[in-house]
Amino acid sequence: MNIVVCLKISPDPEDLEIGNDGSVSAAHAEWKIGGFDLPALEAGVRLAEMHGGRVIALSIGPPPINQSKVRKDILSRGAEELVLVVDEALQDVSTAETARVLAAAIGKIEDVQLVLFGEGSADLYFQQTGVQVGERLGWVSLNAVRDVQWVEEGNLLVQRVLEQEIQVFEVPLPAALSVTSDICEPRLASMREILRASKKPVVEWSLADVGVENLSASVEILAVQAPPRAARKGLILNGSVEEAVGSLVIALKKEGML
Amino acid sequence: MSSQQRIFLISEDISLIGELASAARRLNGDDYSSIAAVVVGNQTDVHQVGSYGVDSIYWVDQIPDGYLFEDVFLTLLELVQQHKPSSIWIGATTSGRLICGRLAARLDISAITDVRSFEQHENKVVMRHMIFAGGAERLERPLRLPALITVAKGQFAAEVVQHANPPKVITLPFLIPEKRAVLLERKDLPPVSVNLADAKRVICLGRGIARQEHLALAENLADELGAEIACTRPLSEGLGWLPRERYIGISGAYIKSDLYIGLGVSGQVQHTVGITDAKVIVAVNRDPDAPIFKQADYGIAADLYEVLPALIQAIRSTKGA
Ligand SMILES: Cc1cc2nc3c(=O)[nH]c(=O)nc-3n(C[C@H](O)[C@H](O)[C@H](O)COP(=O)(O)OP(=O)(O)OC[C@H]3O[C@@H](n4cnc5c(N)ncnc54)[C@H](O)[C@@H]3O)c2cc1C
Repeated sequence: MNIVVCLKISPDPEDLEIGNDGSVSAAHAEWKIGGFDLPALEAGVRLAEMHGGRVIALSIGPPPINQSKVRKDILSRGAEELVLVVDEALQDVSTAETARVLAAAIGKIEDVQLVLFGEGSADLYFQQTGVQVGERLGWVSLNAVRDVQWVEEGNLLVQRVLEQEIQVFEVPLPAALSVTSDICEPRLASMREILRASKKPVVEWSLADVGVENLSASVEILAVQAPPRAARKGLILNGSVEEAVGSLVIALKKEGML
Repeated sequence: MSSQQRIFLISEDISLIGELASAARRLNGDDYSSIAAVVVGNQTDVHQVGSYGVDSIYWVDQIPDGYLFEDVFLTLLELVQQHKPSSIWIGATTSGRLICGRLAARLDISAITDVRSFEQHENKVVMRHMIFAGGAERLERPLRLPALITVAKGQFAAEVVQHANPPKVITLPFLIPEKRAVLLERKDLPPVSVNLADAKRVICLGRGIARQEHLALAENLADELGAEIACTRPLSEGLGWLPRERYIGISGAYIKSDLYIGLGVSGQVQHTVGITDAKVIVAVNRDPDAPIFKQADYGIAADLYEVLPALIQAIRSTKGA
């Protein structure tokens, strides 16, 4: 049985460059696995370790997702295989297109019983992809999953956390689950795993390989801008701790805060 | 603009339906034929939704045992296919996101989630959505209808509208989904201890706080200022020292307080996105290069364990004076 974990590889938000005119550039940003997706990968690997099965990581996107550093990072964290669908046309696609391509790719992988997703991507954070993929596959899909346990053949025991309650379900397989970022702590890859990673298979598909044609955009992006921000004073208060605290209290009084 | 349009609203949170109605009216002006809300609840809920000035209410009075609010999805899908609304507005809650994604998949459209504001742009609806953990905003518009939009609680105020005619209430049967997760148990979470979005002053604790026992030190400052205690994610999700509702950031609370004091907070974007609307930001960090200082009004580059007692003392003496 295969467990597919979907990962978004995107520019690191820490590396954005904001121009004086409010323009935003990710041109020099490092592309990384999304921080919300690492717990999903870990959850998949733990399930496989405990109950058998193979974890296949799956990511789709434009050519920059296909970098040896990222591939190694994924494969050293417990995935046994990596499938990438890489295509220029996948730059800046919206959730409908993403879900369509992921569902098509999952359809091509044999014997998938469970697909895991993070709660949202590190760049867009629409929190939609997992749910949309599950529905496109015609599987049971749930979001906000905080715990997954294998009960018996073909069934999971799943805990879901909502704003005001916790729900416990029996989920029939196949299923698509989006997990919360606190489902488990992602592991740090060991030296052994890092060495092993370079020997694991990486499959590269194009859109045509997964049978997707005419990926027409469902959303038009008109602009990307830095959000309006209050200008901050950026004052560092000097002197001893007592002096700095004294200056702070005076400043806060002036601001009407005390 | 185009012919008059139908608008659909849905949320399990009745007052959020009111907020969605305000948002939809604000966006569409008079350019719609009707607003219909899908309500799962009792008579009182239906009555409340009526006060928000909707034209019709599709009412599902009960979800059968073992099913979820989200299972109303099939009933909703049927309505959408029948009435072809131009836009569907969904409350951005966990349940709302699930319904939204399933609807998007069935209709082969994208959802634009957590919309913060929208504008008319050459007769087109353009929406603003935060991306890159708040580092940027994207303006986008759906190219295929219906427009599927989610809006978080607190973005728009629910307005009570005097309507000439009470809304038409149409009772709907709950359509049983073919496939589902079987609900075994539900447990209430402990009542939420604070709504940080409403706090006037916030003391935010980061990993610079070395031990759980030290929270008490910060609480003294909070008492002195009448502030709420908040934290960065690791203190809540990783260490479990404080409940979820007290962490600030992309996956936590957004504050708009007058004052934010960060103690031992480094200032990563995922956190600071939640404090951009604070009026005055104070940061205490022993690392003079900590990124938080660039986003602060006042910074003290020192050990928080020295600053805390001195600050409490100084505030006490100004009060005494
Ligand atoms: C996908 C994703 C989503 C995330 N969402 C959120 C979110 O919603 N909210 C959130 O908060 N985080 C979030 N994070 C985590 C975020 O990136 C940071 O890791 C986190 O905010 C850091 O918390 P911190 O500042 O408390 O800790 P650290 O980054 O470890 O910083 C601790 C700081 O304390 C200072 N310090 C240490 N000791 C002292 C002392 N004695 N006196 C003074 N200063 C001291 C250090 O110099 C340091 O700057 C997210 C991360 C990812 C990847």
